[in-house]
Amino acid sequence: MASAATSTSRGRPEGSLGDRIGRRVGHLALPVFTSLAIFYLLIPIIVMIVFSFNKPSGKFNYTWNEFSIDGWLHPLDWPGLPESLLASLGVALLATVIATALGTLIGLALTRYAFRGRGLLNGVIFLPMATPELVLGASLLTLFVATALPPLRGNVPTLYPTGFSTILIAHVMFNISYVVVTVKARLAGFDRRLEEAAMDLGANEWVTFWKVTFPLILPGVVAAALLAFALSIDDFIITSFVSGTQNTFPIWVYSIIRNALPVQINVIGSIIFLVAVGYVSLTTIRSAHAQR
Amino acid sequence: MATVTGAAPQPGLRQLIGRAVPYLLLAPGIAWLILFYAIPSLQMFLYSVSTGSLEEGFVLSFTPDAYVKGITQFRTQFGNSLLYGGTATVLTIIIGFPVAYTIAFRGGRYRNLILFMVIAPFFTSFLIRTISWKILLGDEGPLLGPLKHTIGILPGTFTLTGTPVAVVAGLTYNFLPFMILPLYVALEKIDVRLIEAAQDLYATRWGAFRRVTLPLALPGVFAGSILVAIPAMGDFVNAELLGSPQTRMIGNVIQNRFLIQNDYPVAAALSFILMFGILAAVTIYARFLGTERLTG
Amino acid sequence: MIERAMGIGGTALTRRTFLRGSALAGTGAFIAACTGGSTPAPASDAAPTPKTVTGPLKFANWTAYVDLAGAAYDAGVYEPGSSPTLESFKTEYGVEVDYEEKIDGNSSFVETIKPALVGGLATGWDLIILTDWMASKLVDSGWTEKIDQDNVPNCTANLRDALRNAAWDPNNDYHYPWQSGMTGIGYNATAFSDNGLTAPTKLADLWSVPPDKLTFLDEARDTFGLTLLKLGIEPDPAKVTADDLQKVADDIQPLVDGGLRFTGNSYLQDFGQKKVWAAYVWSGDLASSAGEDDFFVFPEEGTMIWTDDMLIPKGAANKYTAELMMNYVYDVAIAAQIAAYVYYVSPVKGTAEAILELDPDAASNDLLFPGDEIVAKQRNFQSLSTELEDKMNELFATLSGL
Repeated sequence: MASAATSTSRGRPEGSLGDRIGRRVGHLALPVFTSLAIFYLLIPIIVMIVFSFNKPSGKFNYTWNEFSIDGWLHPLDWPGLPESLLASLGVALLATVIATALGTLIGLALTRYAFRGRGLLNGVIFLPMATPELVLGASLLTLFVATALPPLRGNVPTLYPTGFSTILIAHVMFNISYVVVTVKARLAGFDRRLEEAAMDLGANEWVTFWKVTFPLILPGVVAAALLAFALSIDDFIITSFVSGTQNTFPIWVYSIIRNALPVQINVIGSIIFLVAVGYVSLTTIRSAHAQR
Repeated sequence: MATVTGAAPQPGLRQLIGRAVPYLLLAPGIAWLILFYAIPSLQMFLYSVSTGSLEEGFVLSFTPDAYVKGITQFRTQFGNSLLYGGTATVLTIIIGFPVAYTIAFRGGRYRNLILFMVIAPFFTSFLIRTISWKILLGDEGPLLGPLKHTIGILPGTFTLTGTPVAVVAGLTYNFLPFMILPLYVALEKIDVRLIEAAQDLYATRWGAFRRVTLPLALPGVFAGSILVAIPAMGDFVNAELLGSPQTRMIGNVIQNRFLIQNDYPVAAALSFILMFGILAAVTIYARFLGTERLTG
Repeated sequence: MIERAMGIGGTALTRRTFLRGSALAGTGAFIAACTGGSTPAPASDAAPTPKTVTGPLKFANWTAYVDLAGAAYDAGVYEPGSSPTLESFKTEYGVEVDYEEKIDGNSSFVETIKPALVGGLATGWDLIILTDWMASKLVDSGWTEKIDQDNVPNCTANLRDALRNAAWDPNNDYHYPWQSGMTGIGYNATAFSDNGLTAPTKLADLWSVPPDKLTFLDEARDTFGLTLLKLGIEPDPAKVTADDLQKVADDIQPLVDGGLRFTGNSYLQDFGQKKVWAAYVWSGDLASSAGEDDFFVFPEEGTMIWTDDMLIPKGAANKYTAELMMNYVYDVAIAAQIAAYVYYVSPVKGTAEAILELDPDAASNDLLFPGDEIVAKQRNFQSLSTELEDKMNELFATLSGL
């Protein structure tokens, strides 16, 4: 795409030398700015990785003391850490799958169909995002408590004491709207004539959806799923209300950091980060090969 | 026989199914939101017009007292939320737009990699990131330490943490990816030939950008602003970890009234004021950008 | 507040009033849960708890408040972050202990379990540790399990006399103290000398530190109590007036304008980062968990004294195991092991002698065994009247911008 842009600009009259220099600088400015912005986003991660090789002098891994790979040799060596990590990954994966499915369906309905209440729903769907997280958490907790008491007790599934399942419910709830918004942004310019063409050619709605619609909205769905996973694995505020005595990784980190900042936190953070980097690099390389 | 008579009722059935489709698509997600968002929210609303406490029980008196108190007593904190959240949103657009543009049009085969780096911060815990920020902005940290002692342009008592600057920096940092992602999604859809054609027509890059790229990117700007402004204005963690009592946002008040002071009516009323304030802002913003373009 | 929570008849009435007004069944149910359940269930002493060890014991505590690793970890005996006391308890009784540093403030923790307590449901915790004033509220509300004294012989034998006969639970039916401590000044010696300040000896000295290098405590009793002392007002809950509290707020307000912050245990992070030069702190934390140039000072004006208590919240699943834990930490050797690490005042008789073997220096440490001069200046600002507490909370909320 970049090469196509350059070739056409070459076709136009070039203008003065100043223009050309300006264009050259302009051409460089964007990548440089982007690199700086990415650096800004990555600084804390760099700090995290560097400090995973620290041997802190006290209980807080705040200041550089001495190079050590102890943390990497014993990455789970802190009571409660492995359990909380497993819980976090489980919640994030399940919540992503459920919320992406539910949210994409709503997104499709909102952009592709006319139905009564569509305009209202378009606005209402933003409400969960407009609600402060702590209000979502607090009000959910009150609901969960209510299910354990008459008159609801026995008539509905009991969701108290809170734990893994209530965290999952909460995470799906707050993720749905984010998925809808992201999928909608993708669908906003969707050309329905493509679907109509497919139907004209004899495909039924089901085939049309999987062969035409889905591939077109897939980048939006993937972006939405990434967002949902990121929001879920990272959530602290809502989870703190509905987790009861079940720890997730952020909840565990929050209670441990008041007293100690174990190097294991950095190691686990770095491992998750590096695994993700490895995965994305692999798929990037593979798709680059495929394109060739 | 089925093949003969089947033709007549089929359109009717089809139409019926066709009409039901959107509702079927909506049903599971909306049911989830009704159960776990709408009903708890209604409870919160009832709190906001009640008096009492958890121990005594709440009496539904339909009094607006909590709203009156919320508006009169916490002007500063509402102001801070608007100021810090708004500044952070503008900053994320300024920083995020060029980045999203670069990824969409200049990313080439590295596009996925750069995109990944944008969301990379999310693969570490929010708390770890904020701890890292505290280290970076710390009084003797890697940023201020050299400026104070090696270069010596800052006095020894200079501090960033606890100031509005630190809070806004934290908000901008934490929500920047929420701006870049939807901007990218919107920009990526743009047919590059449109821009080329525009460049041929308007001759300058700026003209092409302003008249073609920018309008087409507006849905992304809108979605990004929503994704940033709402959590930023409702945030309390950044103000809590990087601020001081002087930099309290309304989220801090709500959290505290809810959890520490056990003042459910005022906490709930403040939540609703915040929510409706944000809704009003979003509506005005959508009008300003042009609703038609946004909803497609 | 306590009296109001006990007003059972009134509660039922408000609930009915509410139910009539509420259209939504689910909401009504919730409110019913909130109010109806507050009728305290009769104490469960009638049915003795079966004496079987069950687990895991869910134990919620404050930060840096048990012998986490320490010398044993350095010697490679225990994995990092674990506690010799808890490990030996697990081995001795063959039960898991899920120990979590979940408590960062009395109110903030109690609010997380209050819906369950009010609704008469299990909180998920078996053993929690709260400061006197909050512990007494829970006990008064009937939200704690009655301790079977037969299961805690160490406690009955070894509790220090000074801590017996607490007005709110004279027979220790519901609580045993965990540790006592004092609130005073903490400061970083390097920061003070680098900036030409002399080490603080009295509370008033903190007012000459740049306010943005200063933190006070978000436990309002500590911050108001100490500042009353600074102003020369006797912090006696029976004598303090609303005007006195107002004077405190007026004295602190300029500091807030200059960037003063309020924290819980997280001042340990701030000291770790050299972000604060001085602070109101709890006595043991700096010694157990901060840097070598961070010190606790007993201010000339005096200190606040308080006691944190072990409680078994109503409906605890592993009550007998919780009692075993109470009993276990009242074993003199174990108490000494904990005290030698946390640097707080142990409630267990004979700790001083036992600690000599572990850490000869500790026995003469004023943090663990306050001298007479210090004891004479200790003030207890715990049991405030409802009016005074409401006034203090209101002033504190304004100060902290909340």
